[in-house]
Amino acid sequence: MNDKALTFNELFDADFLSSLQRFSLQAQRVVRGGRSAEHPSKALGHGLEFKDFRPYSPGDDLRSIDWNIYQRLGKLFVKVFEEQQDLPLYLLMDVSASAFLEQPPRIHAALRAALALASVSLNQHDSVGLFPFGSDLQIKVKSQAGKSSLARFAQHLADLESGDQTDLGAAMRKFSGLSLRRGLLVIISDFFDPGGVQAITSALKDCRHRLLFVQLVRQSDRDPDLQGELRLRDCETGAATDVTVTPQVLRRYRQAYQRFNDALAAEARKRHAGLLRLDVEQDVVSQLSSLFAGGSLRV
Amino acid sequence: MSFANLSALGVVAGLLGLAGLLFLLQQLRIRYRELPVVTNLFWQQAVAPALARWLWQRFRHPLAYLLILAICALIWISLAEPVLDSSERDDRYVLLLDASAGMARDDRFERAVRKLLGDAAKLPASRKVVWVGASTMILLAPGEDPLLLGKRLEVLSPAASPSRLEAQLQHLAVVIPADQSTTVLIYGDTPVRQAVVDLLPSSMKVMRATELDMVSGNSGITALGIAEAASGAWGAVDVFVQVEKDADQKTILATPEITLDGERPDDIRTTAVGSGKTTLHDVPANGGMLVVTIPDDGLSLDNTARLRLPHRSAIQVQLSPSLDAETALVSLLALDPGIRITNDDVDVVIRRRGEEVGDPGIPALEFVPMAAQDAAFILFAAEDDDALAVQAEALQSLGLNQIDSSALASIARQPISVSIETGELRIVSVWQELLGVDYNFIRSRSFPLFITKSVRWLAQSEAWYPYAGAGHALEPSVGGKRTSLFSQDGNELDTIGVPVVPAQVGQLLNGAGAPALFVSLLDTLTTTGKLPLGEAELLTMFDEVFPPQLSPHTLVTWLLLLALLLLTLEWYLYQLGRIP
Repeated sequence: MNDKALTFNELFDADFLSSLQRFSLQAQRVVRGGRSAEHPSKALGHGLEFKDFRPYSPGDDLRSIDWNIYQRLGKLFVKVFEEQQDLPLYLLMDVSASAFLEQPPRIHAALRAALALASVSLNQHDSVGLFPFGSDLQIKVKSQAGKSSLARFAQHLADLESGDQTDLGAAMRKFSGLSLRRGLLVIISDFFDPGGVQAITSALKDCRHRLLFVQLVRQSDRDPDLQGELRLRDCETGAATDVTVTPQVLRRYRQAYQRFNDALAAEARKRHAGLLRLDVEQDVVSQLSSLFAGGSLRV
Repeated sequence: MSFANLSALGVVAGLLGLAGLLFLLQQLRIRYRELPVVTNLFWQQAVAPALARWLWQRFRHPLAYLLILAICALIWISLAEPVLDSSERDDRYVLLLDASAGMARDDRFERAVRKLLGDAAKLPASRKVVWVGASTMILLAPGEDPLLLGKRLEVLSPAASPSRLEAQLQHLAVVIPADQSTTVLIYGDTPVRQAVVDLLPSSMKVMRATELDMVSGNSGITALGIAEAASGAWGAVDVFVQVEKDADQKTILATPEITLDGERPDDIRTTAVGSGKTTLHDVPANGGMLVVTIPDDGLSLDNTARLRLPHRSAIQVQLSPSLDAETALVSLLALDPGIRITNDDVDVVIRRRGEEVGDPGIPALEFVPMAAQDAAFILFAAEDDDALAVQAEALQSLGLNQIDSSALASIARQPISVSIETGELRIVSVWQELLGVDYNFIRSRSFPLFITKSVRWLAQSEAWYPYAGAGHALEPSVGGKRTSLFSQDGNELDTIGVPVVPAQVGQLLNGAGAPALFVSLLDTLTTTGKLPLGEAELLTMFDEVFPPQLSPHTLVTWLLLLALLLLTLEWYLYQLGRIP
């Protein structure tokens, strides 16, 4: 276990988990083929939500015949119901070196956010998958369901170790190759891909899943408290940049950072994805509240 | 603007050096502080455009450079103590402090110094204070602190020398640019002739800063000189003494008292030749020290005068027996009191050429057959003689210019010429035919002059100085052998052949370090305080309206305050992060 990641006990905190009880995920409609759960699906059959009538055909369940219509019209019709199935939640966790730098490391907030989302999904009988990535994608949990799985899932999170550099493109290519059922893909990352926003756009080009970006940010990303003559070394690539911090340089830095954020937000809007900027130095649950407006997040 | 501590060139050189040094410091390789970051994606974008605009990669802080350069320049200029040059709107002032012998009278020197100190502090810093005593020196240079003047004057006192104010004014007229308006203020009460002032450039204004104090109650010796004895005695000289007094009617002219080597010479005949003028006849010329004194009065420097008398013994001449027949020559030599015919301790030999008479190393007057030499007179000068001087002496001192050369040439039927040649020792070579009656030379008035002068020239008797007064050129007696004169501190005084002008009273030495002569004050102006008849001083008093001035300390303070202000600005900008 990495020294900077949270331990299981730190992560699997009762108060933290209880504070998540008020949150829920609501999908508009999930694709067919899933397990029975709480999200409306395109599949018709047994369920609670009446959907339509259709003429009886041999083999239909006699219990679904609407006898009132038969009495009025003299023809047999059966009632059709909308089936409720689960929404698969796939968590792509950025475990590159940048997530483990600084104090507190971004991985702490990332783990709490991942556990929170997993907890909400598992509570709704949805399945959850865990895919940490750095320059490569790992498959920690492909699909896991049931409320009782939460502790095991938390253990998986606590076991995550630091990777090398961020390569979202490689991770997405591998993830797409898994041919998983269409669900909600949550990417928890600082998105500091060496290729910039273009690399992120390219990586998500063929993504069939609904998307939620959880961008791990901190105040010093926007306003770095630096001065003097500095040799800034990228913790992932090892590349060094010599900088004399002047007001002009700081102004250009902020402009570059703002352009990056604007491009990421534009990408999210284009893909009808959600975007949560999670300040890693602030309380995670309170920031998730803004995402779960009224207690539920509609995807 | 000028600078008190550094030259303008030094200040500029220092500024350039500072600019270069600071530039080099800016160019030094930067020691970076390494810092790991989550990404340098944005830093690369922030730095890249700035790099493209910079001419020099490492010269990145022109504002910081200019600020530190301005601060350093201000401090550097402050160290140089700038002095505002007020010459454009004000006169340049030169303050002359008269430190001649006359200023030693009562407390007039102290009064002049007090006035000078006060004025120097009030005048612009461009003023200059000059000490005019036996020598001239700058007491306070432009820009120097007036406090230095007081310190420097503490160790100075008037010199026993005549006033050199007029000479200094003439010197200033030469060295001060003609377009530079200059006011010269005189501190002291030696009068300056208006005739001298009239010759100064119009841009130079001379004023008196202290009142002219009349001299009263003072007598002084104003002349002491010697001359050949009128009686013709070779071993004696006549001495002239003059005593003068100031214009005060109450002052009584003092009577001089004379001693020779410390004793009063009772057997010397004296003649009064006018008021205060006395001639001493036939004073023995034995090298003694003649001292003339008068009773002490307000100024002691002119109450005593000393003169070293010449030492004049007869010249020992050896005459060749072959010339005994030349009665004119023999008679002449016998009549000359300065010559003694002898064969002992011979100074000069008179012979015919080729005769073995006398030591060959002794100067000789030789008579040569006309056929043996072209020129009628040949002077062989010793190698250490000055050929031009010898030629001059040949014509004047030896009386050759008195010879009727035309008559001699017509008798000799060839030109009569004088030739100067160089030999091991002095020899005068003359046609022996000139001793014959046919040439009429021995009966001419130039013959005794030529013979006696030639013997004296050959004997090279030591020159003596008939008059030795401070500020007067020392002219040695004609025909004598000059010896170099040295000051008390051993400096040779007449190294370039120009007559020595002793600046002040004192003793001069010969090459062996023995006393050679004594210089007395002998200055009428000092003693009487009045200019010669027909001369007057018309200087006006300084009106004491001092132009406004900015003290150099004030300017330095403002410069340092400005530097402090810039330093504060730099700190403020640093805190803002505008400069590193």
